[in-house]
Amino acid sequence: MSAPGPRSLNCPSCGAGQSVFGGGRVKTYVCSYCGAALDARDGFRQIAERRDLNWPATPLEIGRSGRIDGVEMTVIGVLGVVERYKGREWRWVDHQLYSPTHGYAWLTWEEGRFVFTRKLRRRPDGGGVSRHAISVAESPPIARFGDERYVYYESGDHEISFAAGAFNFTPTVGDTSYVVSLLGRDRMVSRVESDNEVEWEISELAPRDETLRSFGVAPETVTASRRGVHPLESYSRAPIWGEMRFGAFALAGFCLLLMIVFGWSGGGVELGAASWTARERGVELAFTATDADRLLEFELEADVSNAWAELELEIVDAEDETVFAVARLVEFYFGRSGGEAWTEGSTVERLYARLPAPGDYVAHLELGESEVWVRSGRPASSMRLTIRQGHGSAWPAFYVGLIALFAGLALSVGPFVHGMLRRAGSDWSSS
Amino acid sequence: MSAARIAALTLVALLAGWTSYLSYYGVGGESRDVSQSVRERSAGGGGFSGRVK
Repeated sequence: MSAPGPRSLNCPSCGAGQSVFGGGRVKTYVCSYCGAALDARDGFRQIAERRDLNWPATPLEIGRSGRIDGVEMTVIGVLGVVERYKGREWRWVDHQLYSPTHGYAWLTWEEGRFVFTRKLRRRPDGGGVSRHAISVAESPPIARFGDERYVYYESGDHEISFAAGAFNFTPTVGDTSYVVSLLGRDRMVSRVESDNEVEWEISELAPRDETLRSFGVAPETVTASRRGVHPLESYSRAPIWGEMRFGAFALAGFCLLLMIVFGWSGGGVELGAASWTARERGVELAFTATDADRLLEFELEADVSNAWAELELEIVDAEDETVFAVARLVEFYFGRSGGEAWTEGSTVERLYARLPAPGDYVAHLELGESEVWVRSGRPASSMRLTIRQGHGSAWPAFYVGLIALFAGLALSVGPFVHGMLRRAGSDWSSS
Repeated sequence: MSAARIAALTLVALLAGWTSYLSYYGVGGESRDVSQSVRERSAGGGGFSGRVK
């Protein structure tokens, strides 16, 4: 691919002929052959010289053009950068880009990934991120830009180790700048502090293979491999799973609402009620069920006190056929232990049943065995049966809600782990 | 609205409707100890030790 409108130049230091790319704001041109720095605004007068040029490894060379975010850009300069800390070294390559319509930008190549960076016209809002502010901060500093929140990710001194081509500033090998980077959802803002100025930049990951192809490089020929999860790398999965995750939690919330509505033991239409005393053996209660599609509630009550009583319930239909029969234990205990009062059980038992069809039925309720727990206890002396129809159940909502909740959690594991891996490379330390 | 969102909302709406139906009609809400007695053509008797007359 050819660069738009390059200028021709013979280096005044080594005489090598070369093309100078970039627009009218190119400030310095560094000879790609001998490293001499030339003033682009003063007829390419030599302002510095350097002889030992060790080109960093990069798939892009000066003059290559490609598209980033739909904008045609040309590589006009190459900068080798190194960061050193406690005996460790990190190296990467910054490519100065130029577009006649969008001006200057940077494309960084590090560990097989591209990061596209532009200058910010205004600084983000937020806490101090100077070297001193970071050294005394007790929690990671936060900055806001637009609607997004950026949290401190890393900081360090970046040193220029190599320079060649055209730049909109004057790079000198050995110059350092202090850079603080803060990570947002899928972009990073950086504060770059050099000797005489402070600038802010915003960066995002550029798709590797797409960018390489755009600049005329076959991705298969580039051997640099990606390691781990890049902090700017968003979690990648089919959009349907993100929607299903939200849907699962929404369904779980809806089921919780259903549980509250249908788990309420009150309500329903009362079909009949009857009371009797222990002197009577039992009671009969005739009732007419009009809705056999929903559940009937049979509420059994006995005034036991530190005692239990067995209540036997039988429902028969109009043909005197037994529909169902059940025995329930009503027990209630109370006392004091260690100065605190306690209770256990209840004087009310409820059971839910479904009748085979609407119609007339008779409920037979008898008092079976009964016993007191302590001498001061009182056995059942009076009992009551209340029948209500029109009940639902919270159980279907409980099981569906539980499955939905686990499905939502399972679909959250991937994004959560990815988010942790994104921030795993942060150099923040609370100490 | 994307196709993925429409598909997810449709599935959630169907599940919510189905669960509401089951809960409204109390499916699975019968007390476990309620037993269906065998319908016998008998002269009387009844469930436990007889019926209250």
